[in-house]
Amino acid sequence: MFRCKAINFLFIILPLKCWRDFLIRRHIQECPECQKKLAGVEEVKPFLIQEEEVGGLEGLWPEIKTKLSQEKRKKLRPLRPRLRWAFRAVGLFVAIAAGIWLYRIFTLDKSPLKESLVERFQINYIRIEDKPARAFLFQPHDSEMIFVWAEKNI
Amino acid sequence: MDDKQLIENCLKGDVDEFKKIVDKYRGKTMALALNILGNKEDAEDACQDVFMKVYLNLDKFDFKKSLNNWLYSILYNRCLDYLRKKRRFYKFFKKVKRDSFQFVNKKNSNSFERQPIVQGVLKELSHKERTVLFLWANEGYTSEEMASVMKCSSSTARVHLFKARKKIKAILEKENV
Repeated sequence: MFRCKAINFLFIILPLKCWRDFLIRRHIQECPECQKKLAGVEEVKPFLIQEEEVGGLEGLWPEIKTKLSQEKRKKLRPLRPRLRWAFRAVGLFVAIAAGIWLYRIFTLDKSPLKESLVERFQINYIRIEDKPARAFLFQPHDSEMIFVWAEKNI
Repeated sequence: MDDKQLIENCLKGDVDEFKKIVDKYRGKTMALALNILGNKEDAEDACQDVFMKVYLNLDKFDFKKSLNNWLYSILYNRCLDYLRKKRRFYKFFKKVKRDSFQFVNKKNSNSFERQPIVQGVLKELSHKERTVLFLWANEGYTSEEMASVMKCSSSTARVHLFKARKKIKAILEKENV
């Protein structure tokens, strides 16, 4: 009896269904005391709606048949109009993608940064270890980053 | 004629042959749908959808499995969809009711709320518990079969069944006292 109570308590507190199932399989299914606390088939049946109680289903088939014939007609609808719409959609998508691509190319090529790089940066004099050194400005393509490179005169 | 033969005839394109399948299983599917959904209109709609789906996917039917199981599995999923939809609808309905009570009141409120059939004891159970209880008590399904219908593990099905049986017993004992 104490064991049954402990197992029922464990069943409540265990968070995972597989652990609870372990308790069912190992104890509850076998234990007559625990089985007494569960409703049997005959006790459950009166609460469930039975097949025999379900009536008025004669209208089910005609409705299904109507729907099925509609579905068949849908399937038989010629493919051409659908294909036409599909081609139109694909064409529109390609046109938009090409437009965006061209727009990006033209706007990036006319970047003001590229043109004004020399104007924006001017290195008059650079020294490394107290000796005059060479300097370079470098801007990667399609980037706003500007590198300043200085190297010793060998 | 067994299910296999019926399905093969349907696959040959005979729609009327499908009537035999509908006639054979309509009672069972309707009973399960009623037990899960709790109202006749939704249950009828769900059954219609299920038979439609079955007919349109008959070519995918696995002849090694039972048609009954397949039907129940599709029906269970369809009922879940209905319950989800209903939940969303009632949320919306509550909001509408709260925001514009007078407007709703003028209309016939019965058109929004359908009369539930599942009363009393079954109301205390979740839809999963009602499903396993139906499959266990009416169909004599094992936990593995219930799991295949509900697409869950057999341990989960066993736990749901245990909880449902326990709840019903507790209610019965309360009524007897």
